[in-house]
Amino acid sequence: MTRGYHDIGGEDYGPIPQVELPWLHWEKQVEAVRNLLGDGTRRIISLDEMRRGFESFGADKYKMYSFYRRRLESMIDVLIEKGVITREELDAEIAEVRSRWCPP
Amino acid sequence: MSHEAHEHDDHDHGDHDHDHAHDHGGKHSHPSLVIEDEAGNIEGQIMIDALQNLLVARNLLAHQEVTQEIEKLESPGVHQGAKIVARAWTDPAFKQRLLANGKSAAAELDIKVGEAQLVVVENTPDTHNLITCTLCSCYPRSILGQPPSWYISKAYRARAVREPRAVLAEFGMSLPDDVELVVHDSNADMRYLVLPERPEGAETWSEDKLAELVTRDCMIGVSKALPAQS
Repeated sequence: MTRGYHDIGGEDYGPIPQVELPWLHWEKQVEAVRNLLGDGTRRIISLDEMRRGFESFGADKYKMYSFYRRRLESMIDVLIEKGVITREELDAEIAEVRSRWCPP
Repeated sequence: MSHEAHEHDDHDHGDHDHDHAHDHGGKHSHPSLVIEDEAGNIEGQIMIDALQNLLVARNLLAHQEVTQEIEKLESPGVHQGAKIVARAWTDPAFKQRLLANGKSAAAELDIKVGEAQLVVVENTPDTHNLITCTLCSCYPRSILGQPPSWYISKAYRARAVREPRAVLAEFGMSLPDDVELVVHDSNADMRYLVLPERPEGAETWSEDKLAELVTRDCMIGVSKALPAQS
C-alpha cells in the first residue's frame, strides 16, 4: 500500500523540537475563517475537505509550509475548486493588502 | 541541528525550498517543524486578510464573526482538562462515567467537548498512556486549547508510535520496563485525554488544589502530574 506523504507514523526522525511557540493572530484567523465556513449555516468547506486539500496538494508544499500556512493554502485551493473565489481576484486582493503593509 | 540518516530522505529537509520558486517568506529550519520567520508571518497575515476580505465582499462572512470566532478559539484552556481530572480523582463514580463516556461526563462540569468523541484513558501503576496524532494534529482542542508546537512536529507524530519510550525519555520521563505503555493515535472524530495518576501525598487535598497539579503535558502523557508539595 502506498502511504500518503502525511502518513508518517513510525518513520524515523531526529529529536522532538520541544519548543513552545505563540499562537499568532493570522494563525487564529485561519482557524476562525475555516470554522465559520464549515459551520451549520454555511457548509462551504468542511474540516475533512481542508485535510483532503493538504493531503493531496503535493509533498513539496506539505514539507515547505508551516502548519497554518498549509491549512490556509489548502482552504484557498478548495474554495477556488468550488468556484467560491477565483485565483485572479485573490491575487488582486493580496496585492492590495500587501500595498498597505509595504507601501511602494 | 542534527540530521540523522533517513530511509525516507524526502523527509529530511534541513534547507528546504531554497530552490523553490514559490514566493514565501523564509523560515527557521527544523527537519520536523517548519516555523515561519517574520516575513513568513507577514505573508500569512496578508493572505488570510485578503481571503477574508473576499469572503466578506461575497457576504459569506462578516469581520465581526471572525473576531468572535477567534475569541471562542482562545477560550478553552488546560484548566478545563485539569478540572475534569481533579474531579475524577476525588469522585470515583464520576471517574467511571468519565471513562465510559468522556463527552457526557465533561458536560456534567459544564465543559462542552466540541469533538465527536472524547476517550479518556487512565494511567495506573501498571499502565501508562500517551496520545499522538500521526496523520495530522488531532487533539482535544475544545478542552485543552491549541496543541503545543512539538505535538504537531513530524518528529513527535512519527516517533510516538515507533519508539514511545525514547520519546518519553526526551521529555525527561523514564518509564520502568514492567509498566505497559499504550499509545493512542487520535483522529478527526476521536480525541483522547490521559487521566494521570493522582500524586501521592495529596489524599486530603481539595479538588481545586488538586487541579493545580494537572498540567497539559500529563494529560498528553509525556509527563506525570506535578508532585504534591503542600
